[in-house]
Amino acid sequence: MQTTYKKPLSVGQVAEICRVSKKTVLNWIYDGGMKAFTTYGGHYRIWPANVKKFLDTTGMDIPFDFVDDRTTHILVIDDDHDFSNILKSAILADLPDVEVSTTDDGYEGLMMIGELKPQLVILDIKMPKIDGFQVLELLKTRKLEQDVKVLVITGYLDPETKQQLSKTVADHWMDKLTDINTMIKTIASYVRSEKPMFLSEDNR
Amino acid sequence: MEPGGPEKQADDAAKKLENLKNGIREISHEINNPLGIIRMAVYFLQTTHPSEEKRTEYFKVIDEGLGRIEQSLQLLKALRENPSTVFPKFPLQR
Repeated sequence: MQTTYKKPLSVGQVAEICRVSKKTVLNWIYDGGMKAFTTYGGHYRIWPANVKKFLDTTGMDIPFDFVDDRTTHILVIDDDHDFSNILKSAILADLPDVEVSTTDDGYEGLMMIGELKPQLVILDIKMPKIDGFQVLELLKTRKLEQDVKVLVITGYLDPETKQQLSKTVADHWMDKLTDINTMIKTIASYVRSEKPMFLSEDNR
Repeated sequence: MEPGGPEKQADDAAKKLENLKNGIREISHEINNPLGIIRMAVYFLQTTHPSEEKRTEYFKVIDEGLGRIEQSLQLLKALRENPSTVFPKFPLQR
């Protein structure tokens, strides 16, 4: 009886399924051919959907049954609790099937990105301990390994900040005074499809 | 002859200007945050039918936001009166 895969697979499991060595699977990951993420302990894990994508792309004739069990997850990293809470309410009102987590600490946010595997991180810039720019810097490597988009929503978006953001891995940025419908539509576009629908030259 | 001379005076003026610019930037940020929250709360009050509990929560958030804006405006006043004002650590205590 064929197994139906739901949970993230280890390198060993993928090697067994594809009838190759672990080293080969690791090479696929390093080359970028197979998308993987790392656990907090530093081990690679691969979502079944990404294994299937790889098999289809490479034309490997290996039967593989899976269920895409990934919950859409958004992580909000902002030290302003009032803003995080009301933004979470706004997101859930429009996207009730999404899970939203919040944290007021950039360091905790980085850990949560590794643990929760959110599809989207909404990030503030001005925060104590570690600011948004430092988080973006530390996210550089993570973004290569994990399909996570970063939307910066900041209380002050002057030309200088926009210029700085254009040099980071942030995918999009907006002011906290942005019209709420535009804000939610932008967020929804990141979690519903591969490419965001609302991009202006100025905001990325 | 004035202490420090023209060069020091120019340097002091530049520092005051930089302090002023930074202060305005910080205060703008501190005003924008609660303004954004107030806008969202008003949006929810206008477009959804929140429960009594939620309505109280939104009004509380609006009230607190207005308080934060008031604090920031006090700082702006201080900045106007003395461009060398040393700013408290942001975010302001709530």
